[in-house]
Amino acid sequence: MNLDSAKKVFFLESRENLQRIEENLLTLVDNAHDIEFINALFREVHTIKGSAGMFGYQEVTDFAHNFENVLDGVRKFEITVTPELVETALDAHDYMKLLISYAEEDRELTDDDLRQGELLSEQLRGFEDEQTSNDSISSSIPKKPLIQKPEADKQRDQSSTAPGVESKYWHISLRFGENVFTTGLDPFSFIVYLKNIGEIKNLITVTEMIPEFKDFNPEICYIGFEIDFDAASGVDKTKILEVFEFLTDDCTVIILPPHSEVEHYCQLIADLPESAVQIGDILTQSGTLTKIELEEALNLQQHSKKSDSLNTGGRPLLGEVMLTEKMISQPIMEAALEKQKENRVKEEQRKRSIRIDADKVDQLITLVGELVISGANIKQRTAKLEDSDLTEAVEQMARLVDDVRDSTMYIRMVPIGETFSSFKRTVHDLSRDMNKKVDLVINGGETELDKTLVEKIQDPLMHIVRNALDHGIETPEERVSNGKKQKAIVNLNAFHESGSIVIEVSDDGQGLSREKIYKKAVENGLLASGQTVDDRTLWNMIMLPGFSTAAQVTDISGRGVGMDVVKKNIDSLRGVVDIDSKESEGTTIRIHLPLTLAIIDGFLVTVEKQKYVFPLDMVLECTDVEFNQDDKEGGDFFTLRGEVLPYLCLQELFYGVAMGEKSSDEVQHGSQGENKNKIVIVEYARKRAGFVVDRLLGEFQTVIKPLGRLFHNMHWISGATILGNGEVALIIDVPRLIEYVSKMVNSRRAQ
Amino acid sequence: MKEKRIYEKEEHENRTMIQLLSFRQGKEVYAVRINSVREVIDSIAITPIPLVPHYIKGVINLRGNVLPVIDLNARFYGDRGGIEKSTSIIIVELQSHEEIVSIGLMIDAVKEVMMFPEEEIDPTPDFGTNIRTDFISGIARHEENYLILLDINAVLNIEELSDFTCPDGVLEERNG
Repeated sequence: MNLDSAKKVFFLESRENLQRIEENLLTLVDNAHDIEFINALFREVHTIKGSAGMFGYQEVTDFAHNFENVLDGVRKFEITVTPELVETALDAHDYMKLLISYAEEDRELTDDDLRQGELLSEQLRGFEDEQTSNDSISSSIPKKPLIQKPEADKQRDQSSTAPGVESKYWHISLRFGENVFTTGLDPFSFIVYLKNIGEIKNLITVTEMIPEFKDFNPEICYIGFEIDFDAASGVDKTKILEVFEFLTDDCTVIILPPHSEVEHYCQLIADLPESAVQIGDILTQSGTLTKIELEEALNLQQHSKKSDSLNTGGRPLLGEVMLTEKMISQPIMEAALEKQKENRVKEEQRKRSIRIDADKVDQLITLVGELVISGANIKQRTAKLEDSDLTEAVEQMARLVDDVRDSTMYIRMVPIGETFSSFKRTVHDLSRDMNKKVDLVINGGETELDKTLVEKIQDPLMHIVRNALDHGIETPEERVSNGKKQKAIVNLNAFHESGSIVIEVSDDGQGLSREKIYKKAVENGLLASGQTVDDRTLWNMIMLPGFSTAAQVTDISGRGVGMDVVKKNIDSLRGVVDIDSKESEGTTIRIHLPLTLAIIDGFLVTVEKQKYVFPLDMVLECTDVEFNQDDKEGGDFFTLRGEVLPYLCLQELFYGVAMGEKSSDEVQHGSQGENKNKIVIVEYARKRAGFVVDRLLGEFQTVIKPLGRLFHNMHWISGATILGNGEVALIIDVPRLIEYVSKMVNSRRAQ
Repeated sequence: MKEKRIYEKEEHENRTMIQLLSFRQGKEVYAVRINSVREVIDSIAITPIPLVPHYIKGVINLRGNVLPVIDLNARFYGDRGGIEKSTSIIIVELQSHEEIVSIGLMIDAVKEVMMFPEEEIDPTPDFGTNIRTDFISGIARHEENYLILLDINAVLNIEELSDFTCPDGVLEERNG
């Protein structure tokens, strides 16, 4: 792996880590004492710190270190979680994100950024100071308790009555474990690195574990090291341990401070895999222990073995020993363990998933599209041959092509949950700024939709959520006086519904004010004073450009460029926005989006000889309807099994041919009924309408070909498709036409 | 043919040569710079699109891509062009909003591809042309005839061509 691609992975993983940090921080607001989240937070910050250090991003490492210290204090219940702490931590998260994005873009930090970083570090240290003053043990030590701790241990060691060994050096025992080579680590590099923080006085390679040659496996690391280390001033146990941070859990690292008790050495001997005599030899040989000290140690070991077998029935676990002996401070230990665990999980995930360049997927989809078209062509041609074996073979191939199409489209599908989660922060920040109490409830995060849609829906959703908080939700006082719970609820929901994906944002706020909107609509000349209008039509008016009912323009919304932009964005995704609201009960904004962007099942019809396609998902049924003149006079309605539906005659709309007149197509093919008309009933976004066409040609699988910029103002055709014979058919923009029909019907009714 | 072109280029070595595609539209001969032309195809089945201005002839299927076709006659003179045997579609590539847009241009007949010295192209006259002057980037004399060099970005200005109204507007127009 070269450095660049490793860096790419670092940035990718850091972004994921940052996102989890944010999520955990937000969860922390309500679960201040849940150690799970705090541990997770610590782990994630620690991971970023570690990997940033590896790539030499010093600013990130330094800042993360400060951040980590505070979180460590929280883990140890030395710092209490306060709202202020969470806010600062969120800011620290933001700053870390900034630092990492700068590192990614190779940009220098501006002075402002640096000042901000300094301020944050200061704030973070502020929390630590608080901890220090609460901490009776280290109250005499001014700052950085985490680092001071091991020294405190040392002091204790020195002042204790038990005799310390003579050696004035640190003793480090290293056993790398069998798998160190397979994880890509070079044991030697750690030793080299160790030299950076002190001097290696003595190094003995432990070769006892090397097997006989016939059993020797060159991929296994058999050797270990016993090192006497003269640490540079200011280097403590934490610093030394950091050197070995990246070793995995089957490695044994034992560090004994200078003048450690003999007891510790005996524990060391017990913990190492080699026999006590061998280790003893090594230790005396290196001058770590004198002969007398060794004997003492071995005696002690015998003794402790007895007591151990009484107490725990076996050798204590290494980790426990290290902890009880305070050889490793608890956070480091846990962090290391968690890190290893996490690495394993990640490793497994990586095995199961691959990252693919989006362009490659797009290319595949284009090819599948071509395959679908030629498949349809073959099917058409086979139908003419009336060869049943061939037809069967073609049918089977068509099914396979269908499956290939579906699986290809599925590659691009991603769950919307991640997008939803990103709103937690928005809601948190906004509710804080506005002094409102809001709970964000997320449902259906596992609902999958096209990746492009997910990206493009983010901004409109953000706007809707902001609107809900700013205009929808009342202040806690208002809510209480209205008999509502103080804490409002904003619901984000996603689900599938009749060929589309629905994303809902609902709140239990004050709802839209019918009165205000009506007034505004009259002011803007959209409604005549006194005109009756149904709720839904009125609500949808807030999506017209320049329409804002907010009495006060706030920083967040109300500038009148809101909902119309939302609507425009959704329109460009072939989606529809629908508003439902009840005064003083809340508002629900529903976004309907198409399932996919590229391939659809279509329903082929002709209008004046020209072929048109309805997206099959939206087609409810096709039927013959006889229109009588009375119906027509009441508006463009017809009755289908008791349900009154608006309809539109496509001949009339597209070609100006009135419905009563015989179209050229009908004359040619001879129509059976005098006044019978073929009608396609469609539904989109819970609205139904009928479209009168000339002939029904049946189902057809089709690839949407965009019509391009030239047609971006055209709202009756959403795209084109190529039929098996190479002919181009136009795809009816059902959502827009339904909207058009209902608008037309409403205006006629109003007249 | 290729050899001849090289020869021509050498002959005019000290002059900047541009390559043009000339074609007939109505009674005039026009030319476009060849670097914006992707290919020329015979007039194939054009699918008309309802409720669009008459200068949009429709869409075609060009090897799996759907491209719009502009009727040059309608764009220039306001009347729909008829389809004759010689009618061809020039596929032009344009840059619009940071994307490449391919558009078909329906013309009466393609004439030839030629090299032309850039110095011999005169500026657009202020009057005396049958088409909008902003469509013209220059006029050149070629074999006793005038050749009108078109500014293809103006003729096929996407912003202008796509500026038509939605069905509400069309219907109102029709009803009123």
